[in-house]
Amino acid sequence: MDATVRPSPPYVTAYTCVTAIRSGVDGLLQALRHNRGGLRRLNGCLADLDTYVGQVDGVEEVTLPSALSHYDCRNNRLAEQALGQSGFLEQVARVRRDYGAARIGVLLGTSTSGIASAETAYQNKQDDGTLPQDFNFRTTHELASLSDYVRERLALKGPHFTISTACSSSAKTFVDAAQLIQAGLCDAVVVGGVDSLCETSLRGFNALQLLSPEPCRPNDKARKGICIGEAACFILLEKQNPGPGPNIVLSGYGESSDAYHMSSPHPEGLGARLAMQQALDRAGLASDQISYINMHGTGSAHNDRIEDAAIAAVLGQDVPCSSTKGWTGHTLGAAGGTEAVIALICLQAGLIPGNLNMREPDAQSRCNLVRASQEKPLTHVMTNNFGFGGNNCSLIFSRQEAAV
Amino acid sequence: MKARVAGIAVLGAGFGSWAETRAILTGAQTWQAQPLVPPKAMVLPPNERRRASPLVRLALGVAQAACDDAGLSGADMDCVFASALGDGQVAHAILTALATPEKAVSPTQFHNSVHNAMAGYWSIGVGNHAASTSLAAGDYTFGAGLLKAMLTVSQEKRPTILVAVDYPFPDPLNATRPIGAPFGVALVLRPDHDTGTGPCLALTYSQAQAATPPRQADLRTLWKDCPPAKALPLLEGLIAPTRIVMEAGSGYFLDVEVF
Repeated sequence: MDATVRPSPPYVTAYTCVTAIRSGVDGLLQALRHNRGGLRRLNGCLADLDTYVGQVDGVEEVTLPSALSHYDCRNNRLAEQALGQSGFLEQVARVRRDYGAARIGVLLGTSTSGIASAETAYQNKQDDGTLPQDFNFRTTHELASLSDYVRERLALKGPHFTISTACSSSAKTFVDAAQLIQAGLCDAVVVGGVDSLCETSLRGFNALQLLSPEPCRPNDKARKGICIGEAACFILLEKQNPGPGPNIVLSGYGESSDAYHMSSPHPEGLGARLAMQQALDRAGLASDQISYINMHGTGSAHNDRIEDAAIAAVLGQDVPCSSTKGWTGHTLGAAGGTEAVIALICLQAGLIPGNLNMREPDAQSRCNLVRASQEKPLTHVMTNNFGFGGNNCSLIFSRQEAAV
Repeated sequence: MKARVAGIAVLGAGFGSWAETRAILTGAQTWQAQPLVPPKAMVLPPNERRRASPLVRLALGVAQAACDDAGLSGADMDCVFASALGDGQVAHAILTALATPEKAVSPTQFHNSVHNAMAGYWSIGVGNHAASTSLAAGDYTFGAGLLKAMLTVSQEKRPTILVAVDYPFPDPLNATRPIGAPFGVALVLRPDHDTGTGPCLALTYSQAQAATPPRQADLRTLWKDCPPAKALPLLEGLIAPTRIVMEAGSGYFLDVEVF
């Protein structure tokens, strides 16, 4: 790509998240710094599943604004919980005032939206086989429920839709937002994603025999599978930098398809390599300029190994790498956004997060896996997300002064 | 944002092909909502073909027909799959299983439950390693898909296929979200709007407050209820170039000029 015609990248001007670690960005930074994870044993009515999960505290107590109470479901409560933190609402109010509501988009990723509401409805079918009267498909289970709720909650009037490409969903919202800003249709876009614990995901991954009976240990030679987590994260991207703030840009992105199998990655990591290389090319960066890679690293041995080999092929064996799913669990459609937020936190704080729960790296691993978190200034951070259906997305965030 | 429409396909209840759809949209033929027999998913290997759901078959069939119309293989174009509801048959099977004491979810049903299952099968079937997205925007899913496809064509300068499909849910979900009838539409868009032949699209933000309905009055119920059938006024425009307003999200309107 010719550097002289490369469009200027969008600025990250605010972000917020809730994960299993602790509500909020500050809690997440402290947990990353001190190697404290958030996974706990699954209990309650799903306790027959022998696994750990990344569950967010306090979701049950969240109430939506009364005018939007028809959107009430666990997924939208999780969204509401994140929106109310880290000064995010104030930053959205600023861009709404400065640019106008019609110039601000809302693009969010989820894999299952409010499906937990449909699970409950099916378990409480009426005698005639119909679903309970109080079940509202459109505002809960329907994928658009998430982007509709957040758009109405934030009083925004720009383009809005939900992206659902399994575990790459919320990573891809950054790509569409960059295109909307570049095309001149938006001045700012709220991106990110929300996925909440539900029986469908837990029992589905259990059926695939992928759930870990202990806190997941991505990249560890004795790893036993994945832990499902829930999270909500929102990131504000703007065409210009309004001043003091993160001073970070989305410098690159790459997307690809494996075209191989619905639930197993391409054996040579072809799609992963294509996505990472495209992201580097778009950012105008050489592989040795990347300071840290946040891996998809779910804790599935097969998938971890393929990603490891793909990273070694595209970026060499020196770049520090880790998976942070040992902290949060695999938050599925919210994973891309959650790990983007971790990348942003670490870029701002000068921190390489460790690969929590990894005691001894897989003998086949060739990457420079970081065991414990370490303070180090970062310039360019890559984050990978790969989903079912062979859907891949890599993002690169850069300190503003270092973006090419 | 501009693009050339290089290939068009329509399949739905009473819409057997783009040729038949043209006849209906020009008034030469009257629309009758006959049941749709979803096409065989010929791009898939035989074992996968037999297991493919009606929605996947509709999506792959209409995508293949649009590529055939464009004279392109589908192997090297970005993909935008737009579906409001996703695969209701799979969702119903999983939700039903979860309501039994055994709670035994089929692993195959589970990986088929992702919204991008049809996109995954398409990429496997045609050997496409390009970017592929799957989105939903309720009743405005077609407009959102068109917006994303036009962004890809104009910003990435890539040929792009837009596939918009929905199939009515099985009961009891259908009562909660009826869409009337199955419908699928696919457009192959190319960035060479100033050099190639065939109709072109120009998309711009609109201050309008209402979308243009289809000229054929008997299609207005389908247009209103069925998310991918929101494409009907645009399809009319592709036969007789015009300017229409399309809702690409609740209250978010786009001017679409066909030239």
